[in-house]
Amino acid sequence: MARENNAVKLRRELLFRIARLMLENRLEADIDSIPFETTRDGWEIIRCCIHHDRALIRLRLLGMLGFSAEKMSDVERPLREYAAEAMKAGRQDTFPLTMISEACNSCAKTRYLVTDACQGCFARPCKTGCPRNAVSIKDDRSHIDPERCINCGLCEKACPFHAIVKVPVPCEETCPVGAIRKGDDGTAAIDEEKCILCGRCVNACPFGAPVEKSELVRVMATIRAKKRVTAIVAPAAMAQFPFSAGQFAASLLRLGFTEVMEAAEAADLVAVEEAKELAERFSKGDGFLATSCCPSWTRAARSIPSMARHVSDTPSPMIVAGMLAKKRKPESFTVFIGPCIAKKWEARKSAAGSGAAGAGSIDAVLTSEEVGTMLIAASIQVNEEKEIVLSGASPMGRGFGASGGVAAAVTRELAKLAEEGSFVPDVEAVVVSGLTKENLASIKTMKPRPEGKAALLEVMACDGGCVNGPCSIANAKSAKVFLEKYKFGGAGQAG
Amino acid sequence: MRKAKVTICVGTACYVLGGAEILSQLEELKAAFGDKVEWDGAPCLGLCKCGKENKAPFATVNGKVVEKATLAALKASIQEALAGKENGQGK
Repeated sequence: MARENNAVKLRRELLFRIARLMLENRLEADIDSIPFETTRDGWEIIRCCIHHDRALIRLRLLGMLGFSAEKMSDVERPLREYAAEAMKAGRQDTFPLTMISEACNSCAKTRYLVTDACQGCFARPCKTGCPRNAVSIKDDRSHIDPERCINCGLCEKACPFHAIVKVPVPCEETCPVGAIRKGDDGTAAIDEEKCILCGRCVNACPFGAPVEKSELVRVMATIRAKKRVTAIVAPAAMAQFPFSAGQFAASLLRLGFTEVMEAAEAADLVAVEEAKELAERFSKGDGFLATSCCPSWTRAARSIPSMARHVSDTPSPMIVAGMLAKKRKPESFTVFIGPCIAKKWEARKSAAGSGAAGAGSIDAVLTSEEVGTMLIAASIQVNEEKEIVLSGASPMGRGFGASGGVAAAVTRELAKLAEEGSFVPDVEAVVVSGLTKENLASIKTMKPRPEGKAALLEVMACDGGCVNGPCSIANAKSAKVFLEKYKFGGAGQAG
Repeated sequence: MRKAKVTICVGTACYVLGGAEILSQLEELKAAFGDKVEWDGAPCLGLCKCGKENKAPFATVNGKVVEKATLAALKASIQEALAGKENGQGK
């Protein structure tokens, strides 16, 4: 996915500005000037005027402070008051994604449009091929009657001049679960029940209306308070820079984290548990196990009746890593770092007192992007850091960061169980890479395996796995290469 | 033959604010210009200091600074450098 666009750049610039003010201990004093600073020299006006642009930047900052920006009812309240609240705040238990209604373009419903390229030809395949008689010829040009059109797209395919185009609603188009609701005024909103937090809309919306809520300020305030802060780093987050994972880990220590833990260490344990779980389930007559490490997938699975009970009960590597960290040092404030939005929800769902497995093990979640902006603010050059040795995880555990990695690790653990003499069924591994509408539809129709065989279904919501997460810095292709380096660099003994 | 020396900053600010995307497409640029261009990475060109982070990512082409570098902007600068100014007949 090309991320070279202004919406993404602005998001990173604003995060960086917040991080810098935090480091300089003047967030409250100066945050209200960010909309002005950002729109100074060379700002290209996007909306009606610079004031509107600034108002929208203010709303983006609200999201970055961890607040909802759905409604614009509080224009008068200065950002510094929100900043003060954010610094003191405990965990935000609200939904991690918010839609800036004011930024939404209120795109017209998806439709087909006849462009100037129409030649009003004699053959008129658009008209003759339309199943609803929606195409007519007026003034030597094709016209589509929106009342009759059913958006089937046949006219677009039929036109020899490519004169008919589909004008989609990007957020709706990309959302795999139909979680975008359009109000009467056309403004999009997120249906929090349906949304699986895959983050596709965040990067698809050309107006940057969906924004994730950040815990950046809360984490930086905790570091500043000299608490013991443990960074639990996802494999994909270790693979964002063209330098070694050890150098990235060193950069995190320089940022003020007390220690760095590889989430892959917990992934190794998860692979063992899931292998055991599959063998156990099989012996009880249910040989179909779906992985549980991707929270977008587990959210999606909740509403697929044929699938919900097959999702593994083993907690994800993030939760297991948090449990390990708290067991070693109960006073640790644990921060998971990954290129993922859904992990923010998973951590909240498993908050202390929730009764979930590993409740309270993760105190906050940051994205790779957020950490990247913290590094800029602190003027830390990753490549100048002396790498620290990472030795807690095997290449298999680190492989959880890309599609196929979990299936490979669990399959290997099953083979080990068999070697040890335990009963292990024949297992067929199925890998679904990316929760697109199409992949989701095919998961819904999956049949149980034939008698005597077991199946392992690995699902990752991002195409290619976590290395293509919505809040990555590196492009997925590069991140995959960096992940391979991380897997085999400075690894401990395998499994 | 005219040559262009291109330095792409891989300092944190440049990398996070857009450089990662350029680097991932570097092969495309290399293929387009062949040996007419000499490539260099810089740990940090130091251009992002003094409140100019919002102009990142930075690159230089024959010493000339390219602000807010994109793949397209770099391509254009390289073409300009290869064309040269004195004889104007360049390629």
